[in-house]
Amino acid sequence: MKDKNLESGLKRLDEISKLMDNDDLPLETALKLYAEAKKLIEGCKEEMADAQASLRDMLTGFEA
Amino acid sequence: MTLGEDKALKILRVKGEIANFTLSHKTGHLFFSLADRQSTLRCVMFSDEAEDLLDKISPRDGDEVIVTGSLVVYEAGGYYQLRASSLEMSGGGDMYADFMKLKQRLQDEGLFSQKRPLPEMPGTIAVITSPSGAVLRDVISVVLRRCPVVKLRLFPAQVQGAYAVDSIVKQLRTAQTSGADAILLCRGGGSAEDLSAFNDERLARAIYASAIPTVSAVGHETDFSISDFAADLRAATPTAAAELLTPDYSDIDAEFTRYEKRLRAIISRKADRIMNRLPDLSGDICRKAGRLLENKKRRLSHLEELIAAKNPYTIMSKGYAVFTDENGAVVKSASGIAVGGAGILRFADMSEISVRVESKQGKSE
Repeated sequence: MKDKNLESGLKRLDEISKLMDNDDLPLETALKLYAEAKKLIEGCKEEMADAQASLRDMLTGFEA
Repeated sequence: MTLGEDKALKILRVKGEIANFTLSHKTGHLFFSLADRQSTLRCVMFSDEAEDLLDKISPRDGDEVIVTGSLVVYEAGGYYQLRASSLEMSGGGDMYADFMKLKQRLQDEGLFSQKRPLPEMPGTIAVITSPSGAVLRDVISVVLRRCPVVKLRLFPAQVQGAYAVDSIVKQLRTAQTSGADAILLCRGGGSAEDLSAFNDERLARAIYASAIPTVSAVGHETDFSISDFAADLRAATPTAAAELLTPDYSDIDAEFTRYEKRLRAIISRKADRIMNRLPDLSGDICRKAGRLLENKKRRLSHLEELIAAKNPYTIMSKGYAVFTDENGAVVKSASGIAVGGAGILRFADMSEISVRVESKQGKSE
C-alpha cells in the first residue's frame, strides 16, 4: 500500500515538474503546484524512510 | 453285570494298525488307535507299561501290532477304550502300506511338486471344511484376531464318511471361480479312518489341478495325509493354517508406523534444507528490494531538485511578494480589492502577513 502511495507521489511530482516548465504558467498556479510538490516530497521521504527501516529489520532477522 | 465284571473282556488281544500314536510328556501315558479298513478302537497304555514298552520298541503310525488289554469305559469321553498292558509288533499294516504306495506313486508322477507362494495379503480365502465343526470357528477366530479385513468364504463339505471325497472335490472345483486368493482345506483331528478321505487319489489330483494356491491342514500335528503332500503348503493344524494365510495386523500396523517415521524423517530433512536456503533467498530478495528503493530515492531527489529549480518563490527573493485576497485569489491590481478588504502577503521564504487595505492610489483606484 505504502509502495503504491510512493509510486503515485513520484508520478505526481513528475507531472508537477513538467507543468512548471511552462513559461506561461500563472504565478498563482505555480505557487499552488509548488506547495503541493513540497508536501508530496515530504510524504514520499517519510514513506521511503519507513520502507527502508522495514527492510533493514528483515535483513537483520535473516542475517542473525 | 457291568463291563468290569465281564471276565471275557478282561483279557483281549486285538490286532490292528496304529494310528494317532501320541506320548503324553506330562503323564508318560501312550494314546493311540487300532484301526483296520472298517473300524477304529481307541487305546491307552499307562506310564508304567509304556515305559517298559518304549525301552524295547518304537511303535509308530501304520505299524501293525497286537495289543493285549482289557476293555474299559472312558467315562469323561463317553467311549470304550482298550487299556493296553502289552503291545507286540505284527509286521506292517495294510492301510499304512496302501498309504505309502499311493504316496510314492503320486510323488513319482510329480503331483507333490507344486509349491506356489501364498499371497502376502489375501483378499478372500475359500475355506473348505465342515460347516458344523469347531475347526471353522477356530479359523474364523484366528483370522478375525490377526487380520479382520481378510474375507472368508465357506465351501461346506463332508469331511468324513463315504461321500467325503466327492464332497470335498466338488467344493474344490467350485472354489476355483469364487475369486478367492487362496484355498484352505481343513478338518480337525480324528481316527485314521476319519481322516481317510484326505488320503484319496482323486482329492490329490483335484488339489494339484487347483489354479489357486491351496493349504492343507488335516488333523493334528502328527497326522500326515496325501492332501498335505499335494497341497502348496501343509499346516500342522487348521489354526496354524489360518495363521500362515493371514498377515498379522499388528505387523502391518508396525510396518505403517515404520513408513510413517521414514516419511517424517524425509520431510523433516527437506524442510531443513529449505530452511537453510531461506535466509539466502530472503536476504537476496531484501537486497533487491533495497536496490529498488534506492532507485526510487534517487528519482525523488532528482524530482526534488527539478522542482526546487522551478521554485516560483525564487523570483520573489528579489523583494517581491504575492498578495492574495480573502478567497486566496491573487490580487494583480488595486482594483482587485476594495478599501477595507483583507488579504495575505506571501514572501519568498514562504512567510506570510495579513493586511487590510486602508486606501488606494493610482490608475485603478
